[in-house]
Amino acid sequence: MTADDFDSTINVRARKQRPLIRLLLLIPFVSGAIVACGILMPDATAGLFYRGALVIAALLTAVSALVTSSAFEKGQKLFAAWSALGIGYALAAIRHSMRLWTLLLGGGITNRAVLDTLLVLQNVLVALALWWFVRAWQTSGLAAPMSRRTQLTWIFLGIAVAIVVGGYPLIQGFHTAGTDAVLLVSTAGDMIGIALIVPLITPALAMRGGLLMHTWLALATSEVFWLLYDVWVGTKGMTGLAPSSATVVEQILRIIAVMFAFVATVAHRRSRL
Amino acid sequence: MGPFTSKHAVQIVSRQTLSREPEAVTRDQIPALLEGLGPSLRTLLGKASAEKLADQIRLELGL
Repeated sequence: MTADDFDSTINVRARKQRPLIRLLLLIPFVSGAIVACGILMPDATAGLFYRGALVIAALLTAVSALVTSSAFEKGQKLFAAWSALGIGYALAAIRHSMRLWTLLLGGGITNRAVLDTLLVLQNVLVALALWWFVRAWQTSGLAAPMSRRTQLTWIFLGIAVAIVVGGYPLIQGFHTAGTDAVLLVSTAGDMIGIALIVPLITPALAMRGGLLMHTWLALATSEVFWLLYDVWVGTKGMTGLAPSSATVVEQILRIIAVMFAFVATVAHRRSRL
Repeated sequence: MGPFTSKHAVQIVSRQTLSREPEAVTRDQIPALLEGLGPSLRTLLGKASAEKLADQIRLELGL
């Protein structure tokens, strides 16, 4: 018997998981399609609908990420990464819930400082999480050595894209730091995420054909959609679209970004024995 | 991990731990190879899953 004749149960299991994981990849787009229904609603109702969808998406992602983190021991990078992602999205769920409460019932927690603090913490935690995902791969001992030149090229490319996309809002944030400190942190967090797209895709490519590929790919895709979201928010005013149409595109991109993070959490659990 | 990374991982560990090429690894050396792969597997899969995977491989190879 040669290696080619040997079809281990591990391979059989991996083959069985692949269709399930491919189905998972549809979830963000189905979520986007659901959110798109907001275009049919009156503006006030659509606002509630979008906010409610975000709360659900963020909560699902938070819970799933924390469940995924439980497979790792404290001190391991992926424990930190999944925990940070989970807590970050939990804070997002809390923040959006507060806003939803205010929209639905009035009152509630409207203190700007509280909401801004939640936003800042969310951005910091998600950026940290993504960094730890990248470091986990790099320190796993499995990353194929790349020439220094190639490494630097990819790093600078990622940073360049991040600057192009995030540069304008970041500069705006600096100029109005007093009122837009949150914009600053939010944009900086987005820029870090965008700069990490390539370092997240690299392990996905290295693990192509394997189940673990989907985790890093979903995380990278989430950041791509956050990138598209940032570009859209920055340019929607120039499209000439009606505000309600521009808003629905924004909400679709946002929900897809969040749900790809959710897919990453589930894909990782599906790839384990 | 996919075929590319799996081959790469086995190659690294067989060279570093056993000082031989993957094709020259004997059946008796596979437990040592699995031991060498342990840290990488634990990093990516977590301790329990990495141990299950190693156990499954040993079971299938009759070790």
